[in-house]
Amino acid sequence: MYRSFAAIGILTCLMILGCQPIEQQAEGPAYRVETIDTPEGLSVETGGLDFLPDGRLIACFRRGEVMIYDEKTQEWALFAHGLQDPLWIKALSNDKVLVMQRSELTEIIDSDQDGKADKFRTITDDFGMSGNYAEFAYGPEIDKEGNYYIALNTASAMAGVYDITRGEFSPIGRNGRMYSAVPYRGWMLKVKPDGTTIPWASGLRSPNGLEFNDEGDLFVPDNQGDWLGTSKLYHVEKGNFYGHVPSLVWEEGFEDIEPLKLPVPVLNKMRTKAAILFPHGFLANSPTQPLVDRTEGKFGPFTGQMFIGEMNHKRIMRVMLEKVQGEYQGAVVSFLDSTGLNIGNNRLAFSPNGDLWVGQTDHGWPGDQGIQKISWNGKVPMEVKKMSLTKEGFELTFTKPVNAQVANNPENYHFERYYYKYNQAYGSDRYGIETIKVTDAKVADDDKSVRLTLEKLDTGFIYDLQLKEFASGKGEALVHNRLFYTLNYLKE
Amino acid sequence: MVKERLKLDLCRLCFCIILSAIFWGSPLNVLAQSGTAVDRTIELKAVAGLKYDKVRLVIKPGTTVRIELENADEMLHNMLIVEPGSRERVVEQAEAMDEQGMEMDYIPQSSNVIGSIPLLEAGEKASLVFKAPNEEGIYPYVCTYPAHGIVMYGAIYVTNDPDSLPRIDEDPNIPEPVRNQMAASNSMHPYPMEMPTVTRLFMPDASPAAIAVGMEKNQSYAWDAGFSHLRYVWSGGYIDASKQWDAKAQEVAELVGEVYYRNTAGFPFRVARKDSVPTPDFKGYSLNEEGYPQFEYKMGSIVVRELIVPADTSPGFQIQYQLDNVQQPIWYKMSDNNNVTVTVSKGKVEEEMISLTPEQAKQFIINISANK
Repeated sequence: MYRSFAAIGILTCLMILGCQPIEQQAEGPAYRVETIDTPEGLSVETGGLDFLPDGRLIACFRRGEVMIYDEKTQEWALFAHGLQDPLWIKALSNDKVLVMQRSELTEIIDSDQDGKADKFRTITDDFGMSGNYAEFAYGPEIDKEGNYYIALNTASAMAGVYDITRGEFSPIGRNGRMYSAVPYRGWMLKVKPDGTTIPWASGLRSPNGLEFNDEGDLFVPDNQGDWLGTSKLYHVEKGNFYGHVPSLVWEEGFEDIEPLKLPVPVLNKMRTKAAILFPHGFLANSPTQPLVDRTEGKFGPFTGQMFIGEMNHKRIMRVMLEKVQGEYQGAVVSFLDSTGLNIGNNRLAFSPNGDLWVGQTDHGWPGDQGIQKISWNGKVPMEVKKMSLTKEGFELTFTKPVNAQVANNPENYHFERYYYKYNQAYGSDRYGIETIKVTDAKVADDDKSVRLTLEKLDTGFIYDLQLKEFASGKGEALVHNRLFYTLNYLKE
Repeated sequence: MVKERLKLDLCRLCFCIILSAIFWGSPLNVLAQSGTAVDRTIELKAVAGLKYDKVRLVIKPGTTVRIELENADEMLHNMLIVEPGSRERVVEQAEAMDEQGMEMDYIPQSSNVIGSIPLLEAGEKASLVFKAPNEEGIYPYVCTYPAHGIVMYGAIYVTNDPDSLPRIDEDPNIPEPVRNQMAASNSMHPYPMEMPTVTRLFMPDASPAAIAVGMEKNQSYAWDAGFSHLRYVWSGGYIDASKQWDAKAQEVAELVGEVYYRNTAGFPFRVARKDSVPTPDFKGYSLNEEGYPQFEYKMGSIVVRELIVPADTSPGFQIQYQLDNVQQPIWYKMSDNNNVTVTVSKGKVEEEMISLTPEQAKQFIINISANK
């Protein structure tokens, strides 16, 4: 019975609203995706990608291999093997790399320069391991002073812990869907070059990616689940708590407190909100590594912005951050949908010539295995280059002049707003769904930007904008016509 | 919304499934009313690693089966039975549902869908009844939750001749990873497995920071980087990591062979006093010319280098120690193993302890051989 009602409801929706799915448009002719051949016998569950100073790709894989790929000769060479589920790689020189293993951050050195690593130097293993499969470790990214930052995944209640664990075991920390039974699970750690390891920020669940922007601010994504109504991108700063509760068990002064018993309003007050929310399911299920475009135009018109991978869709996203009242917030839009891209887009790296390399994985989850390369062919795609908040609404800047007749009509901007709940439940529905009218739209003299006035502008919402009728002045369709702006602060 | 809906009792859920099938009317009309007598009940599980536990079901034309699906995974899964040859199309249709998908359990309105079980949360069960047509055919079943459909499927063979099925590792109707697993070769890497070799992974009877080392002479050991000491040594082979690497890593590796030596002493060193157990700090390892790892760890200011190699007599092994910055006497606690003979190159054996002067401790060897 219920099902019949649901079906009828869905039919109605299809007929009246059209339901507005994200349109899967080809990005071509601006971007091209190419699949890289990988060696036979390699399970291409890509944990890390980077480029050596000499321009060769270096990558690490789930079963412990570190391999080097020379694009000129299209040959792979084994640099090291036997590592424990490595999930990050950072080249320091042509014969020295940092690799994050489940168990430690390691400097791997080819000391006799024969192409094969022979020294595996532990930088830090000062964090706990319970044996739970979800206890992944990510990073490092390196700050301007040369300190390393690493992030530790929480454990999953879908599996237990080992009899022998590394680090102090906390029965209180063992509670929860994703939990923190050993030290610093769900934390960001700062590691000095001498190995001194300092707890830096807490409240993370699955921080699968780190990136500094040019201002030296650190960004980390987190994955929808318990305490996360939807996936997020945080600006991570020292001492902050980001909302996933079990990690608080390792917070100083919390010795006698059971974090999961704290009232949600208290936790809500304690937490630092995300700069970007990724609506779950239809935009992203699992955002991965953020990467700033520092190609100076070799990869198209988005230099300085951040790309971020996605596991469950054939998608790379683009993040446009701005500071409002001193805090980061901004918009996210799809950058690439399909065009030959696989799913499982776990790792990103720019080659010296400005191609974006994508390492895929599945690791027992939805995903793909492989490595792909995205290159730009020099043609500017018709896109919203920037979405920024104004006192009255938003300003949109396009990569090319827009059809002014369309852009001057407020009815061509379809805004909806909604929010996700912060609570212990796994994920959240969308709440407060409301259509927001645009009361005024004014295109700038150069036809490249437009200022919008909205009837309602409030904090605590995602403003979900669709621009279905849009095209450039020459009739070229907008490639990605749906943007999501996370509004935490209003313009003063 | 979805969560509330899934709170419906399962009986009602089954009823709904049948209604939905009628509503979306398949020309084959293969679903019967709930309570209809069935010829057979088939239990199917959605399991970790985006798989159904069975990838082939074989039934005779004209028979009626109940398929009971249990979601034994942590992710949401559904199950759709679809018309022959339409699996990929239905998966695409489900993917295109976008935000409507969750609300409709990713079951597209499609004439290709014969029957369905909606999204089940971890631990939930539901069933459907499938009446096989009188003609032979291969009916795919698939999970259409986004990104699952490309690997999470199987096939119902409606056939009078079960022996005529293709070999499972060559069957194009089952997922490639499952086929590959069936045809699995021994090397799980892009390089041949040659000894010695090092593999860091989850091992039995060790902390999660274990290191497996395969040696020549068909011997292997587990060394624990979480505690900086040897755990055990076995002979007869190395490890089988396939279960750990084929899923999310819920399983420890399996040992190939028999353990003949276990460290029962824990961290063996004592510094300055016989009862003073230092806390070691693991510093990594170097590979020697042959490829054996030499571990390095610190106990206070003392740096220890530890190299384990096969002994001359097999099965047996040798631990070669080098200690730097030793200023005080060292004791080394021996493990309690039957059927092994232990000899030391230096120092004095006093009950279960080897006593070493600072000079002797700089370099010494412990040799352990299994008794015949």
